[in-house]
Amino acid sequence: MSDKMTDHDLNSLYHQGATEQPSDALDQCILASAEKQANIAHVQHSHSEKHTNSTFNNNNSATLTVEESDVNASSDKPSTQDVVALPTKIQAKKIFSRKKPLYKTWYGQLSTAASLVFVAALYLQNQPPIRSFAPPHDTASYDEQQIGSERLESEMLDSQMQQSEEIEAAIHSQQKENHSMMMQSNKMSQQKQQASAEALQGLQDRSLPQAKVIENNQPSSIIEGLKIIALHLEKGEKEQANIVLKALLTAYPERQKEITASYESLQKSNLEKDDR
Amino acid sequence: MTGIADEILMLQYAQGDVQAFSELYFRHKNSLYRYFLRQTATPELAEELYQDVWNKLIKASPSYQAESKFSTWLYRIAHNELIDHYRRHASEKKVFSASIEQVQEKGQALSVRHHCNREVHNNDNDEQGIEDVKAGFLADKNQPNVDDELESKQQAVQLKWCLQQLPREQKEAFLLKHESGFTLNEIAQLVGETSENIKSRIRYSINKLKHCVRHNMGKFYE
Repeated sequence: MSDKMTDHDLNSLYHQGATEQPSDALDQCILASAEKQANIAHVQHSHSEKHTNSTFNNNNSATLTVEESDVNASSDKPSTQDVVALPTKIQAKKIFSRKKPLYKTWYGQLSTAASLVFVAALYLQNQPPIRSFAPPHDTASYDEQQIGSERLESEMLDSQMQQSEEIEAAIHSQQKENHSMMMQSNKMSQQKQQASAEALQGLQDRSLPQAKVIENNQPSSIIEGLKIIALHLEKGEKEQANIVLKALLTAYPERQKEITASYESLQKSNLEKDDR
Repeated sequence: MTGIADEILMLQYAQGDVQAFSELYFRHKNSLYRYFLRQTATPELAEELYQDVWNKLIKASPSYQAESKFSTWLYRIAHNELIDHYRRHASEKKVFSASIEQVQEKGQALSVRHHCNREVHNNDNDEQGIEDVKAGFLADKNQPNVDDELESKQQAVQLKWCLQQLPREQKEAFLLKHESGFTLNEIAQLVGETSENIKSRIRYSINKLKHCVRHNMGKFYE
């Protein structure tokens, strides 16, 4: 015997010894039980065939009559033709009897779609309302923008407050200035009135020196000044009249034209008087 | 009907064709019988399980659907039947204890002869072959020109004994591969294991069988 035995050698050696068989009695027993079962199946099959034929009789009567004749003609040991024909009948029966799964039916698909829509609606309903055009997922930038706008608003309010305070302060200062101006103008008018009164007294006295006349004869108003000028012109005192005119012009520069025009008219009237 | 596939024959039998079943039965009966015979302690038990499998198949025939190979389906029933049998008898060791004790008591050579005689009691030709081997051995064991045929028969007998000594999983994998002709993937699907496991089981079983045959044949000729 060789020491080296290959797999093939082992396999052939096994098959050489593997010659056992079940006993004939056992074979007969099994075949008999198989035949018994086949007879039962055949009877059940013929019953079911008749049942299916009767149920679908209205739809295809022509084909069913052929099948019925096959079933009736089949003997205890069916021929090969019967065997070939039988599976198709059984398959047809299975197709008719097998229930369609729910997801394949139209109402199953419809219910699935409806449930999906319902879930989507619930989802949308529970979403927060849209506040801006910014994408909903960009909440950080949205918050930053909101904070910035609030800051701007507060800054604007502060600046407006400051402006209003400044305006109020300016109004106050203007009011104060106006008040002081009024006070000054009142003082000036009082001083002018006093000066005109003194000038009138000086004119009446005619003894006052020229410098004092210049200081005191300043007109408190244009009319009074013009009266003074008219008095000087009547008396033939042109120099004093010119001094009062200059004082009027300095006091009321905006009415220079009117004052000069009235002065000239006064001079003309005096000249006409002198001519007479 | 010989050229028709097993699945079609089974479908035909499901419709009531007994001839289809007999054809199917004669195709698979020997390998299935030996599948049980190699894995059980006694031929009676093998016959009992073998008959149960066919009865189950006959009962299940109306609901048969040709989704997988018929042989795979048949041997899956057989495998489950064997597993159920092991469970019914508490453990596998208990089932095999009788034969192992016998081997230990009577000595290896005699046990081989006894075991083989018991195993092959259904086959007269095989028994005659064993008798020839025995006669030749007893006549002159030192005879230099031993007949090749006799030697191979002795080896075959020895191989059967060695196969009995294998673990159950390895034995089943070996039988499904070499007795029933299944592929590794089919065996894996049938037994519910990975094909890698089946491959290693078969490899182990072959190595053990080779070693066993060489070792015990040497003893046999001493």
